[in-house]
Amino acid sequence: MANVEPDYEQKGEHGETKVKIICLGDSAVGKSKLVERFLMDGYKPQQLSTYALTLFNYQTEQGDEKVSVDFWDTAGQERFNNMHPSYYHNAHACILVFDTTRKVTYKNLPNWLKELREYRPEIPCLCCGNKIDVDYSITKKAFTFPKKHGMPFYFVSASDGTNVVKLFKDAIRAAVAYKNNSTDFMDEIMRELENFELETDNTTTDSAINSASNSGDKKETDSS
Amino acid sequence: MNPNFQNIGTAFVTAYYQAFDSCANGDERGAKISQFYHPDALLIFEDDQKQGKDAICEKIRNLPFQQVQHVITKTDCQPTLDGGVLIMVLGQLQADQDKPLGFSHVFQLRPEAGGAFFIMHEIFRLAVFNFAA
Repeated sequence: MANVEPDYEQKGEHGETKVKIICLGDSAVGKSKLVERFLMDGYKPQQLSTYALTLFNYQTEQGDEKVSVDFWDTAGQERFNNMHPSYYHNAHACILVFDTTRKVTYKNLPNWLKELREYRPEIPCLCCGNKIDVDYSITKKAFTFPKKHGMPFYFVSASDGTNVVKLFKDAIRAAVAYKNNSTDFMDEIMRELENFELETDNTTTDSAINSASNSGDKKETDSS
Repeated sequence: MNPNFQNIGTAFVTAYYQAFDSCANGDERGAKISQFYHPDALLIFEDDQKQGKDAICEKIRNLPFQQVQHVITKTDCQPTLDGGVLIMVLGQLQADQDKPLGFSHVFQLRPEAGGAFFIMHEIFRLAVFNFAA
């Protein structure tokens, strides 16, 4: 029975830096689906929600640094009670998720951010609008919330994979940088995204879709 | 003790969840479910303690989902000395499009004059455990 919280201060067995990334957002916006999509082959979909919290581990590298990432996921019990403080405890980055097909999930982002900041005032936070595959024209709309709070923003689809890898790689980068007390990483990510938007602005057709799929090579599909 | 405790318990459980699950939203549910409660009933719902029928129905009304389905795995019933029935339900529920969650649900029914039974005590807990790594 693995029910002891991991210690993120210690290095892992093989000297890897351990970070914790949490996803926040309303019920059924696709938080679990996004994590599963990113991890794709490494994990089978969860069959039963037996555990209040599920950790998905992902091993990667940042430069010459080995990194062990735990993505935390809930069973959806936050519908029935409040999110337990342990969910926020020691998190190094947060992904705020809303569903582009349900406006109320966007309207609730300030509440989620407020709760996050009560527990983790400083950690980097990224924002994404999920389910753009339902209607790609949504990516032409401006979502002011992330900009207002200085967050990188991504249009994503857990269903077809658009931008999912980009989002999670940036989140991992932000988490590791935060843990290593680096300060300019969010600026860096923001700058990259801005440049990226400029590139798509120059294309004449389907700019919204290009913007959504974020520079070709980042688009992950089933065939990858 | 009431020898009919098993029938009373299972009939209650069927009627309760049928009423609960047939509602399209919380407002409807809060109104419909009130018929089952004693005016002074006590509830613990995931750490949240409520006293009195009105407070309980308000709690149920404000649960943040529209539709919910309960599937019962087992219902255990036991007669109590006052002629009531103690019930424990083990099952799974699905709120809107969420993943199914296990739950356990305890009721103590109190007999009233005229043969009616009302919920006097109720405890609800989701069956989610500490951790999965």
